Amino acid sequence: MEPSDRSPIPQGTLDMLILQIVSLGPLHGYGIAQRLQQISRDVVQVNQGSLYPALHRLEGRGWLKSGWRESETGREAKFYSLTRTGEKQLAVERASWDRLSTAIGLIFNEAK
Amino acid sequence: MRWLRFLFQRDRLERDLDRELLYHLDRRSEELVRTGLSPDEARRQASLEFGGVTQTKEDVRSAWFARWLDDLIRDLAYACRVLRRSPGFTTVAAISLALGIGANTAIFSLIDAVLLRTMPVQEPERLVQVIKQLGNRGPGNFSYFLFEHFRDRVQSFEGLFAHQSIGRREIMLDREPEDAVVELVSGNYHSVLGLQPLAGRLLTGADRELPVAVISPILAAPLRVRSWRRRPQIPPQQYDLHYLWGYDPRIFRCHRWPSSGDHVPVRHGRRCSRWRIVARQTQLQFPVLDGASPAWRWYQAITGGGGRGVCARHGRGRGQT
Repeated sequence: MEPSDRSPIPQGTLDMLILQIVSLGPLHGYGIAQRLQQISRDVVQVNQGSLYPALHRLEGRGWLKSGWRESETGREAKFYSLTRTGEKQLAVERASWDRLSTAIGLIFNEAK
Repeated sequence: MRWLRFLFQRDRLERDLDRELLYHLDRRSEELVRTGLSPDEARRQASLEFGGVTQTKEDVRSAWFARWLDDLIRDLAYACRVLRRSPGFTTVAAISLALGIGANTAIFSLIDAVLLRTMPVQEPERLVQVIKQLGNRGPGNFSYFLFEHFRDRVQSFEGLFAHQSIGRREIMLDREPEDAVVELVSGNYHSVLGLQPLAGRLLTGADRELPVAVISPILAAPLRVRSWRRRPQIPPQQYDLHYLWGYDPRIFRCHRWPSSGDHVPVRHGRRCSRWRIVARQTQLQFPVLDGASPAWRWYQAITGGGGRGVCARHGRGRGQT
């Protein structure tokens, strides 16, 4: 089997990516999947089905809220948007990610 | 209290989830059709990319459950903290609950004894069960010959019938299998109990040579009986049976006989004490009874309808002598 050039999404980062995408404006599940693929330029591989458990989990934690309304095709879709707690959580996760990636970068650079 | 709301909104959540996933698959299929795929191929490809709708639903339900559990635990912890902070209120609440539950239990026990456990027969208080005592080994079974001997000779009862529960059986009713609790009874069962049918006829003494069975429909039959209730003008002869009788499931249920554990019909309320016939004889297949003669069966108990002025104790005493 040929190795795929698309990496699976790092564990635990899907929630953060969803929060980031939704922070740009309310979006339905299909839209989030599309945006995820566009932004990551097809590098990150997300199983589209796995998006929905994550969306419902984030909604359960109170970071996202949802509502049915008309989509761009005229059909009703469930739109997700960020709550105030979600915004705070995104800021926390982003800061934590920055710290982690800086630390990893430092380790790699030192090893050179 | 979000966890409580979840319990009542489960159907709506499931419907919304179906709609949500369908929207995704439809949109992806439309997009693939625009790239030149046929609608069928597009649908297949969309499902493939999605990665299993059933699994996704299961995962979403797990997320719901985790949230439900989390909310419940949080509410319980909060309740415990509040109760610990005010011990006086906690004590009063606990005593109120104990008294309330106790009073309700007492009232229900009374209603249960007076209304619910009253048998749907004429003069249930005059029914007496005859028991064959086998020394210390407890009650024994009666042969059919012994039952006939008592029925014909004991003067203390207006009538005596024999019955034996043979448990749950699958029977064929209108060519469909039905799960039923079945009881073998002697032909005078209904006449001794003083029951009247809504249509057709019940068992009579002339049926005593037949392997008679009284069947209490318990699973699928209630639906059937309900559908018949909507058609009250059934020609009686169409439902004339020899050995299948059903109870109206809203009113009758199978119940343990207080002293012996046999299955007898007991009514739920006082609304009705009539029996309803539930199938045609020609459409009944009952393999359990094929070739079995009631005369060679042993009966767990025989029961008598006491004559006027004969009390239970008196009837039992005279029967044994």
